[in-house]
Amino acid sequence: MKKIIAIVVAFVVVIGAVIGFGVSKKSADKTSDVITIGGVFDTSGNASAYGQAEQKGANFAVKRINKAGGIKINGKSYQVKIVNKDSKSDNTEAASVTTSLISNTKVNAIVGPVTTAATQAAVPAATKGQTPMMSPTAGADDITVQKNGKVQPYVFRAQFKNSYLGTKMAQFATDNVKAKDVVIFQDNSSDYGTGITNAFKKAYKGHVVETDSYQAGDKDFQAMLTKIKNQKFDAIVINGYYNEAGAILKQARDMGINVPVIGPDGLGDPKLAEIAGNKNTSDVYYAAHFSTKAPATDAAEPFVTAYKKSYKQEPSQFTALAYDAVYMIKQAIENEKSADKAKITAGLAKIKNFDGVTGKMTMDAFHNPKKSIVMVGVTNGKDTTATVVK
Amino acid sequence: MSSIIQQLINGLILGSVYALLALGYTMVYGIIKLINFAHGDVYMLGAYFGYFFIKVMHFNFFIALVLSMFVSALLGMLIEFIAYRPLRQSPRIAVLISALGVSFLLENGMSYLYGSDKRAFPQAIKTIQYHFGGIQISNIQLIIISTAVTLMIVLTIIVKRTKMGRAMRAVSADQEAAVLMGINVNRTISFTFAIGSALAAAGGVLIGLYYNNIDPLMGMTPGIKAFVAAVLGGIGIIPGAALGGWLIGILETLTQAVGLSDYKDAVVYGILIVILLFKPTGILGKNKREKV
Repeated sequence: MKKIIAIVVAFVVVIGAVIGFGVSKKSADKTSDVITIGGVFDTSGNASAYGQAEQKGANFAVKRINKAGGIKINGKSYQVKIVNKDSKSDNTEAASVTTSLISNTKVNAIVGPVTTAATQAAVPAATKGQTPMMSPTAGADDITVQKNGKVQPYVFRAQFKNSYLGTKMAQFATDNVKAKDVVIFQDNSSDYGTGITNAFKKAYKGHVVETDSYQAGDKDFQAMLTKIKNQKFDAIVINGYYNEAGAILKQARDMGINVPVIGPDGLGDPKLAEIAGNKNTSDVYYAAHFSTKAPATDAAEPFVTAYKKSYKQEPSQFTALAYDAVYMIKQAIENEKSADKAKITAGLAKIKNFDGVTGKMTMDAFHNPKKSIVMVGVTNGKDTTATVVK
Repeated sequence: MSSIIQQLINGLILGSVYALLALGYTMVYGIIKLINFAHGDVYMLGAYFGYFFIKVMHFNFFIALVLSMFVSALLGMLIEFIAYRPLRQSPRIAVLISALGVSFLLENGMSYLYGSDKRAFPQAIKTIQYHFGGIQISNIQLIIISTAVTLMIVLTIIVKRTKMGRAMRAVSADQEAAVLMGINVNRTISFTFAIGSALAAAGGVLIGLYYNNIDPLMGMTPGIKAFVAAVLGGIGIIPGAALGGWLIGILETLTQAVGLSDYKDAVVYGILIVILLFKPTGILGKNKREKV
């Protein structure tokens, strides 16, 4: 009996100490002049190329904000601190580091995660912690939507949703390529390809001659191409990723089909030209979020110059999106005049005509930014032109 | 009309590669009743050997083709020696599991060593298009089909006319009787693996050249399709494998040509199931009673 009492007492003391410690820490935070942003980036594993680029972009944004005097709320300046955690390209890890940032680090807002799947995994943590989470590059349409069709209250993104690409590509096909008839090839093994195709068809004013599907991993497109070869069309739209698009491009050009090819951001990878061959990769246009060749707003030029000075390299679109994500949080804090988590969430939802480096953004009712996209033109395997589609 | 012929040609070329792979499955099955699941990965390794010989050693394409067939033949023998021979007397399921293990080892080993990214296969031969009436065929497609046919003829000669071929047929008919006749069974089985692997490697190199990209998992889907081709033609029967390969290639192309690209594989395998329902031993298979 004595033993049990001793154990219970020991428990109470330990728990009390922990709670007491937590409380005292919390009260210390309240009085500080620092706004903390948590960064959830995959800096190792499969998605590390994106994660590292985005972490650099977010860090760079914080550095620039602090250099310019921090964030001003009611005349008082707050410095910004960013705490980055590696989610290791693992969904479970993304959820647990998000929780840790919210409950241990007590961040005011989160930038990240990088991929759609990781973001989906982190949504419950952000919702439970009532903390705004801004993913720079999660693309799937449904990450900001709850199962019942309502908006996810705490989830935002800095890139446009995937199907929005289809709308803008249709606009580009009509206005810039002047294509009246197109053939669409879509990767039907993921929502990415089919989602973009549906949006494209809805927005396209011309005539879709034919829609054919393929699966990720397919290599032989002879049958598909033979079928369309003798039909009349001005452009091919490939809604998929660079691996299969590269193979389609090679086989089409080998067959003598030389019309322009339009694709979403899934085609934006040097591997496209490697697989298709440089000579075959001409008259190809893919969607991008950002290009140093075509500044979408006035904010872009100074960003590129400053970034190059600090890192001795050009910022990628991922870097630019993460940079914008941090600046949108700053904008939300300034608009609402508070660094309170609920206020930041409200502020982010109300962002309007925000001059980001990736375009002028306005959040829609579902927390997706409406903005311009860049169509990058490729000649001989090299990015040569860039057109902003407003 | 010309587009139908064009589609048939497309199917024939695709089918040639399936046929080359299916031959390996069928020969190994014929001789030791093993479904060698690592066969598709030997095809992948063949493509990587070809990549190495052309890109790093700068050999001519045909020399690279022969060399990678040779290296893959040695590798096939090595796989048999390490993973299958010690299990010769074990239940058949144990060898099957061992084959799956080898398959995973090769796939993941290559991903680990050389990355899982696709690589561009060096374009050792420049693509030239020939036009005959409304039909278009490239020199690479001609190379694929002629290499495949040549290799099949060579294989037929080896099996039918050489001493080793006779030994193979004998082991396949009755292993114990073959031993009593003084045939070295282990050597014959090794030889079968060598030939099967060489054919798979040839398929891999040709596909690398044709589609211009290779990756560690490239053997998975063609491996399964070739296995189906072998079963369809009648597993264990060499001409059946070639027939099955071409049939699947053509079916695949035609389903796409009639606008069923969304259901390509579903349609192809649906047809195959129907064929097998009526002829369970495959198209060229004979109904043989199991001896008790």
